[in-house]
Amino acid sequence: MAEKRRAGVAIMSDEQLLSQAGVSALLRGALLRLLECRPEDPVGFLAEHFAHLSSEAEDGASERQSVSRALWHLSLAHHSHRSAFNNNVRVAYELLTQGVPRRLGVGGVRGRLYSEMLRCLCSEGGLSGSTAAPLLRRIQSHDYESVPFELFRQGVLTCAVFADYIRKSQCLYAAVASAPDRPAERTLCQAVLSTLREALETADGADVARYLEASAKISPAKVAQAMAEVQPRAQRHDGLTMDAQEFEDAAAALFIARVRTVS
Amino acid sequence: MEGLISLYSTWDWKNNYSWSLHNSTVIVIHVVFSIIQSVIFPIKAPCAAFSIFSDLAPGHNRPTGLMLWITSQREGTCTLSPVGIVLQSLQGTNLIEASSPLETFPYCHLQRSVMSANAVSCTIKSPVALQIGDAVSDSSRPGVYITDITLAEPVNIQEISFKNYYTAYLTVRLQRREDGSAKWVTCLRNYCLMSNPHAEDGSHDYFSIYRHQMLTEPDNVTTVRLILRQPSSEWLNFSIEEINIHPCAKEDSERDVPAWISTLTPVEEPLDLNGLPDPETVSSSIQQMWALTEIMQASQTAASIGRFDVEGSYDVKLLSYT
Repeated sequence: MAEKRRAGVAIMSDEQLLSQAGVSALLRGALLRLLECRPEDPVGFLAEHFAHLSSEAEDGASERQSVSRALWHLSLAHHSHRSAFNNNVRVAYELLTQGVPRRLGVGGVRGRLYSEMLRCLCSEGGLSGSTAAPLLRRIQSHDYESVPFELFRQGVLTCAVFADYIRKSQCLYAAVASAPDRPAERTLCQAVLSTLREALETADGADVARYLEASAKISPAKVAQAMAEVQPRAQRHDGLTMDAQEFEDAAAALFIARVRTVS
Repeated sequence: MEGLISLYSTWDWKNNYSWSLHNSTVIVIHVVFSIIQSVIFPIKAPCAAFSIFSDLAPGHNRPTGLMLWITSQREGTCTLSPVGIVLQSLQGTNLIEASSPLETFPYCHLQRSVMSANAVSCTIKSPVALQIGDAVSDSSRPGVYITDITLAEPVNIQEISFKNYYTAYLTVRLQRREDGSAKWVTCLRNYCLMSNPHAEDGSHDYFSIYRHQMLTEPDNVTTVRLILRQPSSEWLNFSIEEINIHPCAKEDSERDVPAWISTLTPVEEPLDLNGLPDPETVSSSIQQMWALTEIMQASQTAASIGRFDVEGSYDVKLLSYT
C-alpha cells in the first residue's frame, strides 16, 4: 500500500483489477455454465458464450440475433435433462421477450418470433420442411398473438421430442427392412405401426395401469406375434413395399395426432 | 380377492429384496415386472418373509419397476414393507447392507373378486359338549364339542372357512338332501388343526376347508355338523369362531383382473421367425417412440395463447386483418 502512494499513480493490485472489471464474476459464470452443459467442445462453447454475452451488451439487438441466441441456449441441453432444459427454456424466453415493450395486459413472446423459433428448431433437429409442416400447423401461432411462457415451453419441448421421435422411426424402419438397400415390406410396416397405434390408444385410467397395459402390448413377444401373423400372407418377394419416407410420414402422423392444437 | 400394490423405482437388479407380510391373508403374489414379464411367486406360509432373486427375472431385460398382484382367499388389508435390502454380488457374497431405496406402500386393500362368492347365511347353534356322566355335577372339562349349522336352503359347498380357538381336531359331517331323504355323511375325519394339542401352534389360525379336501361331494347340503376335539387338559375352553360357508361360484361370474395381465406369460410354442426382423430391436424402438409420445402428451398444458388486449379489451391499433 505504501509503495503505491509513493509512486503517485494508482496501480491496482491484482484483486482490485479483477473485481473492478467484474471479470471474476464473468469467469465464474462461464465456468458454471460450462459445467452445467458439458459440451463436447468446451473451447468452442466458451467462445460462443462470450460472443453472445458481448452482443447482449450492445443495445438494439435485432430480432434475428435474438432468435439465434435463443436457439443456441436451447441447444445446450437435451430435453431428457429436464431441469437443465427448463432453465434454458426460461433463458430463451427472457431473451425473446426483451424486445417486446411491456404492455399493460399481456407479456410474452411475439407470435412471429415464436413461429420462427419453432421452424428453426425443427430444421436444426434434422427434420425436413415437409415432415415438420403438419406439426407446425398445429402448434404455431399467428403473428399478432403473444405466447405465454407455458405455451412457449410446451412448443419447444414438442419440437425437440418430435425430432427425436422421427430419428427413432428411421431406426425402426431400418430394423424392419430386411436389407439396407431394399425397402421394407408393406404388411410388416403396417403391422409394426398398428402395434404402436394400439399402445398409444390405451384407454384412460390410472397412470400406472395405463403404462403397464401399453407396455404389455409392445413387448417383444407381442411384436413377434404380430409380425408372424402377417408373414404367411405376404410372399417373400411380393413387390408391395413401403419406402422410408412413407413410413416416416405414417409414424409422424401418429405423433402429431396427439399434439394439442394451439388456440 | 385380489389387490394391486405397485412399487416403482429404478434399481440395480443385482439386489435381493426381502419383504415381510403383516397379515396372514396373502397366499399368492404375482411379481409383474414393469415391462412385459410376470412371474408367479406363491407364498407357502402366511406371514412369511420372502426374497425375490434376480434370477427370477426372465430374459435379460432389466426391470425398472415392480408390481405385486396379490390374491387371497380373504378380504382385508395386506401390508408389505421391505425388511432389509441386501446387496449381493452374483457370486453370492454380501457386499453391503443398505436401507431400502424403495418407497414403502403402506397397504393394499384386497378387493373381493366375484370368483369367491359371498358366504351363505346360516344359523350356528351353540356348541354342545359331549361328556360322560352328568354335565352339571361333574367338574371335569369336556373334550368334545359339537356345533350344528343349519342352512336356509340346500347349498353346494365350495369352502368352509373359520377361525380356530384352541381346537385340536375337527370332524365335519354333512346332512345331504338326496331324493327326499336326509342322509348324514362324514366329509372330514379328524382334521388336524393343532399339530401339538398341548402347544400354541395353530391355536389361533384361520382355516379353509375346500371341496377337494372332502371325502364326499358336499352338494345339496342342509346341515353341517362340526365335531371339535381337544384332548389336552391345558386349555380351559376351545371353540371355532367366524364360521363362513361359501357356495360354489356361478358359471357366469366375471373376473376383475384386467385382460392384459393374462397375456403377460409368453407364448409357449416357438414362433416361426425365419426372415423376420429381430423382435427385440423392433420392440425397443417402438417402446422408445411410445415413451417420447407420452412425454409430449404429459407436457401439454391447458394454457391458451394471449391476444394483444389491454385490460380485457382490444386495443384498436393492434387489430390486424388476416
